Amino acid sequence: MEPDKVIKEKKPESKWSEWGRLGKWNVVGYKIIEGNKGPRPDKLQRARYMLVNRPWDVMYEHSYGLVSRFFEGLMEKKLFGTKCPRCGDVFCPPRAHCWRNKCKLTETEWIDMPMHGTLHCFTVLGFAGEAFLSDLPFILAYARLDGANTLIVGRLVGMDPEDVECDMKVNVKFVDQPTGNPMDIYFTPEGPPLNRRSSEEKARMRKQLEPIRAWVKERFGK
Amino acid sequence: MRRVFRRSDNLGRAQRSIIEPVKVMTKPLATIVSAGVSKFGARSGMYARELFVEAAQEAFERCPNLSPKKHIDGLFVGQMSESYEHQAHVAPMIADWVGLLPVPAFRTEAACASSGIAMRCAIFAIKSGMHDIVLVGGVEKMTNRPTSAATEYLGMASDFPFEQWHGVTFPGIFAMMATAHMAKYGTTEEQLAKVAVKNHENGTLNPKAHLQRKITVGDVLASRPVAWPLKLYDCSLISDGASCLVLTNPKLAKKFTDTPVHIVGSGHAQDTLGLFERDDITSMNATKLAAKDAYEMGKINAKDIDVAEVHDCFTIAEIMAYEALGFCKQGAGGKLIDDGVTNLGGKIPVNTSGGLKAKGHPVGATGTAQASEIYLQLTGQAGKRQVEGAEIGLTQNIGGSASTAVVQLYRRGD
Repeated sequence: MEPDKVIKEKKPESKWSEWGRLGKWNVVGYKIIEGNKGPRPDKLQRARYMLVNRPWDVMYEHSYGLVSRFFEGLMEKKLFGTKCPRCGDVFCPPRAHCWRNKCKLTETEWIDMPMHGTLHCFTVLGFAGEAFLSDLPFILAYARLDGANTLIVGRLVGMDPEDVECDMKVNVKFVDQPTGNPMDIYFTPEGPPLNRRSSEEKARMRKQLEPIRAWVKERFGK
Repeated sequence: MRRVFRRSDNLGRAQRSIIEPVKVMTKPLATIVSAGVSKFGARSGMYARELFVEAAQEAFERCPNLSPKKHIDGLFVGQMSESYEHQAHVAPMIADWVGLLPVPAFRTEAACASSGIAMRCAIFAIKSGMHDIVLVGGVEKMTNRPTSAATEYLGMASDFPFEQWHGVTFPGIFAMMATAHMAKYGTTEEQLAKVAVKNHENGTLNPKAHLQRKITVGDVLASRPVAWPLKLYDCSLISDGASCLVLTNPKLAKKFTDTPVHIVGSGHAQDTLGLFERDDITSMNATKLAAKDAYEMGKINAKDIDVAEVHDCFTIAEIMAYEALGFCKQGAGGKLIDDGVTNLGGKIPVNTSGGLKAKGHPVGATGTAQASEIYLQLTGQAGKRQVEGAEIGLTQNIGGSASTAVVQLYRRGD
């Protein structure tokens, strides 16, 4: 068997190789606390306990496996999906094998996907994992690209949250410098808002989102 | 058009209706003779193993005829993630800490349904006759990391990389279901808020609950959006806690208690991991299938349920659970909460414990904590939140975006 060979590579900068062991194994802070101990609020006793701070993080080498072509496509600003040759179902995000029981794990074929679709559902995030906090509030949507049997996730930009509604048409765009990440694509609205929401509902939604904007401004200064 | 997918060949079981009520006693699968729950909350002074001990102590004290070391011959522990406490392989540790070494023990993982699945394993063990008396429970110590990091760990139960890498959070996933449900059925933010108000009120009657205060619909609507349309008060809590049950066969149960609770039906089904491949994101298909199996097994109909604990990780999830469990028809969950049917004192009180919303949601502990609440209700030990004369109970425990669903049915055995 021929050994694997690297066709193309971008090595992570050297700072990232340090990442895995930065601060690892070190206790960098502690607290000794006197608190209430006991299973019920009416049976509590004072007791001491200790807390320590210990940073820990990891560097992954993830495999995109059998659907790697999708991610290679992203790097070239091309959007691929897969199609089952037996039943014709179209998957984007791609699946390497058909999902239908009757197709018995038929291998799918690669196809080009259209750059537009329909927004199925959405949310406006007001809290997120560490890496995304500074982007709040942002709109995440699941959209069905024309002809697909699945939805694909992406951010929706270019519209106020209070104008976003299920069933609106969206375009798919690429970021300027894709890196082979699902976040290389995002959605923009196609056409004006559907305006199914009343102006009172919109005002209420705007008001609900105010504290998020204020919090981000205070914490990240933007 | 809200229904996107057409994977109908995989859906045969879901489309048959739930069977008509037949009042016959079926042979129990297994029997609960005791239960224990730790105080839920931000328990920064405790390890996960110590929380489990707290729950086990209560279960052992409640069952004086049980000599744990002598009688218990198996241990099943549900836990979602080793990342919270950086501790994997917890089963031997917990077996040791509760004084049961060297009993066979293992951990099960199904995100928020981890201990629901542990219960299924315990039922298999008892029903097959391989084990006589087992301890089954769950534990999660989630507050060791900041909330944003805990949110990220929970997010690992969504699709990699398509959901996770976009920063999709679990509130985000359930918010997607909510906007779709609102668009399709006209469900309102106020109806979602009412679920939170009800569960907070129940929580004030449960001394083990993480949150102990009543709120109003106005409070919910004015709280900060976590993933619009879900606000802070629409979301369950990141909590620490543990829960456990002592399970045996119906015959042996008589030796340990006069008030056994029989598990008479148990169903378990899966749906796609990613929300983006669902047949219909406005309905919980896996819960429907699991409920159907459990109802058939227990010869019980949704109308027979006296008290239920459902997986209200987010308020929309409770509304969708009503529909999937047959408490009302598809799309009518919002009206059910409007009508007060699921309030304490209503026809089917739901989440008398305060639910995940107010009691707290240490994810691995949730499945058996729900069963513990039903055990208390059916044995008349639920105190101020007691549902008078409750005979038949139900629990619904889901994992991830409702990709795993476990539904169990209970019958008072005295």
